[in-house]
Amino acid sequence: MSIVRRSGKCGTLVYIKALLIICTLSATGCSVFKTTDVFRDPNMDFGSIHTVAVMPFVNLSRDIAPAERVRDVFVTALLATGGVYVIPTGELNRGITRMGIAVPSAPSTEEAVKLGSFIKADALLTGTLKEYGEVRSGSATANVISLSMQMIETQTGRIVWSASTTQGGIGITDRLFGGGGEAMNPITEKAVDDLINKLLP
Amino acid sequence: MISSISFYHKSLLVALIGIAFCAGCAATGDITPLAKAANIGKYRIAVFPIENLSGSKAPLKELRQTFTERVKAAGFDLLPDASLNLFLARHRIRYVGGIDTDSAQALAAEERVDAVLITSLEYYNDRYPPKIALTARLVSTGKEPEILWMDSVGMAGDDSPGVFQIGIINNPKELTYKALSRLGESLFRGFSADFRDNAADIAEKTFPPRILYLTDLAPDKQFRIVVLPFYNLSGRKYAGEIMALRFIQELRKLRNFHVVEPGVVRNGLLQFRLIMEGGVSFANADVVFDVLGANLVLTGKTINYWDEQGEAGAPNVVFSATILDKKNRLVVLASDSYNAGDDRVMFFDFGKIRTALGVSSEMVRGIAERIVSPFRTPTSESEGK
Repeated sequence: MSIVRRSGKCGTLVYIKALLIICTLSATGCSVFKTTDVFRDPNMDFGSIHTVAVMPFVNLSRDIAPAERVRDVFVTALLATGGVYVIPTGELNRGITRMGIAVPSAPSTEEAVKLGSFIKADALLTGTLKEYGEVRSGSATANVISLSMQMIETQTGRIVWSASTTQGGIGITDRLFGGGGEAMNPITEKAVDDLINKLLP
Repeated sequence: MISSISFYHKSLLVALIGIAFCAGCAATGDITPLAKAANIGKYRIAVFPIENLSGSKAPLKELRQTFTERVKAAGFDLLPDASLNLFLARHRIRYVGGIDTDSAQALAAEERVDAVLITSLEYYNDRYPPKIALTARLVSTGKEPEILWMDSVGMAGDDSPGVFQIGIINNPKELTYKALSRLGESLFRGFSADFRDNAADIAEKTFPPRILYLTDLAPDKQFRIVVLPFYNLSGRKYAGEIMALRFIQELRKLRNFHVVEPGVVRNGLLQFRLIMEGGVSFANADVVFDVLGANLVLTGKTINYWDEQGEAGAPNVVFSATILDKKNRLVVLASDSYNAGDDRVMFFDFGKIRTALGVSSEMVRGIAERIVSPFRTPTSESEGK
């Protein structure tokens, strides 16, 4: 009987230790993720940026239309913050054509400076849509969006801010119960909000 | 004796209620008796051929015929088809989705027409359940064409199934007749109210925009706005034109907004060869402001405009809109909206909207509502999720 009791205590201790190790590891993991996806130039005065232009996004997703859609949501959400003014897309397109920028999604330093002075923007925002749409893992499916953005200051052409976000994807409930995850529009909005929070903290 | 008088009074009262009830039914079912009361026989209307924005085949001639009958039944004096066809051929008018200033003047001078009825078919499906979506507007002729009245109707055969599905409409002709009658009645009500929008006619339900930026559109200022066709990124043909019509319809209800007739806008854009690929620049906007005498220009993108065929599924609409201001050369409104017909459904399809027209109307109304009261907080009672 005594042997059984002793082994029971020992087992509980092992469980507690294992739980503590898992908690510590996951907490460490979370902290690592949070610190690596944002870059802010410490020498940049972000308060001096009043007007920005959102360049067309690089589209690495399977469909053609999403990049334009995500850019559109980003422009509206950024305007809605009231923090900065965004140059209208038509006016930006005119500037791109006038300046003869061949790849507007990735302007060179000179192009960024020239375009900035032409459209009177303090900064350009470029973006890459890495993933947009349905992902599948085994029998589970869900929608996912992965987006990264950079801010180019138009006086010097330097990158002063960079961030990325991923929203949606297959969660534990999708694996257990199915359901296909959240719809594309809400997770696009979440991703955009997340990036804006990182830009204007 | 007293009791017998009281009995006769009661009988009289019941009879009067019965007569009043019957009269009410007749008024809603047939507009002719009401029309006789109003002096509208002198008001001459030209009913333009229906513009097909549905992107598919539809019995346009039959639809126009039915609509003409309903308008005629309301008591309006209609320009005969032969005269209208001759006029359209004489002036080489092929676009029937609007009317420009020259044509409006010619119509008034040559045919003594007071107004033109322009109808756009947005959706038509004769398979079960039949669905139809139409927008109509009455535009004055003369020196400057103005939108006097505008309304739209979107209906599906299974809108009101009722008990044991006795309310289901299987016949597309029956649904068409019902939809066009409703438009005819609305036109008559509009005429009777001297083309002033009745507050009771304005539906209360709205879908608020998901993201909204709004500034400098104070209700005490007067605006003359040009609504340009939206840039269409959806798979649906003419979805850009349809979204523009939605905004025209809702913005003209705002007291401080004067919306320029789309026919006049189209003519201006063609005259100055304005092509706005990928959005409106301020250079383009300046031309629009000068030519059309406007101080605001609205444009946008239709991302999705989808009507479901059949009973299952729900219509889906996604769009963004932007308004540019002439005075400050700034964006004064930017919005992003997405909704589906089943957004309010909690159980058994109760509250489901079955046409994209219905969904988009509520979405645009949500934006218009914010223009009127920008600081209004959304209430879940009347608005979508």
